[in-house]
Amino acid sequence: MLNAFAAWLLHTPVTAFLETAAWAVPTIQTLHILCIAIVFGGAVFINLRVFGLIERDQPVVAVLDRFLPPMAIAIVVLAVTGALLIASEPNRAMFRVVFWIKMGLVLLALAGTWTQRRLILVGAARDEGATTLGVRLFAGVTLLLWVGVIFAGRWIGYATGWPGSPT
Amino acid sequence: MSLTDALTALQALPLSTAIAESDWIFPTIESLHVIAITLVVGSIIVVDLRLIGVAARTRPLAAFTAQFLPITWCAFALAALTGGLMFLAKPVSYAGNIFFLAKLLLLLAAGLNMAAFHLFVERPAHQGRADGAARLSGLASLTIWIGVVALGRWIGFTI
Amino acid sequence: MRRQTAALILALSAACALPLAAEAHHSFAMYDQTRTVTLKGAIKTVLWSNPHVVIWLEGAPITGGAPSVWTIELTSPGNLTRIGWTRTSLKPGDAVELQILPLRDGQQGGAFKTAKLLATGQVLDANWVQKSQIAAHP
Repeated sequence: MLNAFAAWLLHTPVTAFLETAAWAVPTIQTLHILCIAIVFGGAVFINLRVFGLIERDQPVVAVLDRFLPPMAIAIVVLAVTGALLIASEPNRAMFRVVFWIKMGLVLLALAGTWTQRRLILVGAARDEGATTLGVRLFAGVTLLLWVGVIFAGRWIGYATGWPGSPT
Repeated sequence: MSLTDALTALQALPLSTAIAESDWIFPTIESLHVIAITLVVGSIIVVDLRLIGVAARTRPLAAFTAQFLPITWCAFALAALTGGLMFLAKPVSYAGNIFFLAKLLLLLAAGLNMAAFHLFVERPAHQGRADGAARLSGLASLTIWIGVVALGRWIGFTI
Repeated sequence: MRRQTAALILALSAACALPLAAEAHHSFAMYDQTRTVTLKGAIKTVLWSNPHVVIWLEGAPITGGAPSVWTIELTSPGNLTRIGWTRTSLKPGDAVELQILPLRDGQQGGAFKTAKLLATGQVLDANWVQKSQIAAHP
């Protein structure tokens, strides 16, 4: 079924454009990386605040509320650029297990990133600046999930396709 | 010994061969490089947006430079280390790659811009006296670093 | 404020436009996957390195043309060794026929499909999915 979808993609105008305009794929990749900087950077800065290492004069929730909105926009752009990158070579990424691992990690990391706000708010009712061990663990694990996403993303290029894959 | 000789010797080192041929070493170094450059760019974006004046204008500039620039430096060190290791995989090839050379030039420009900022702009800017220069510095920084990322991608597009 | 944002957007666009002048021949999108070109000649150099093994061939298409240097891209060393290649499966001086997916922009290069060693008749492919029966090249 995936083979049929990839075969269909191969003949769409979007793919044709991406294949013929030499600048398209590198530009999309650059945008993808810049958005990773926003999402991953944001996740690291949130963690640094959760662990009390930076911006201790700011309430934790304030730091979150500063970084989460641009991260949300960046995630949307990542999804769009990611889809375009798949469209540019339909017979590759979708047929590697590590690609689907990356997708799973993205979903988990997204869930973690947006859930920690509620967790922190609960703690904030008592003390705006500090965080509980539970919150710290949660933030730390979420960050590790984002690290996993980056590693999985790089590994797509080094993986071989599963049996029946077009390339 | 010419530069080409030196680079060829570099390529023949056991470490270089391991990086060039191993199944997992190169992608690991690449992933760490991605993490490093995203932290460089991410922290620089935070400071530059404040410098340019599009974000958090009510908070003092010093709050941002003091807290985020150390992150930039640490991340840059990791980026330079991982970049150097990847260079070892095919030094002769990269040394002749115009995008790699352009990227090095842009990194130099980034360094010069940062030096100029620290020397001439930072203190007056903290006192709110150098809005124009601060804006220019921030804009230049953002442009240069986006260029660095773009050139880095294009290295991978040339053989 | 609005002028600043406009200036910012302009600067960012300029930065993204930076490498526009270049030629890209990576990302499989740059190869024409609907046709194959067969080249005949001798291996000039093999770069057995991450992220992509590269072969330079001194030769010409079997349909005709003056000999010149063609740049052929393969997958990573790890992917190749996993299907039975070694770093000396193809060596400088080997007389070969190479099947490639040609570059769309007409430059002399492409993505590797198969190689036939003319001395032994052995065929090497980079079918990255199925394990090929490739004996070590003596």
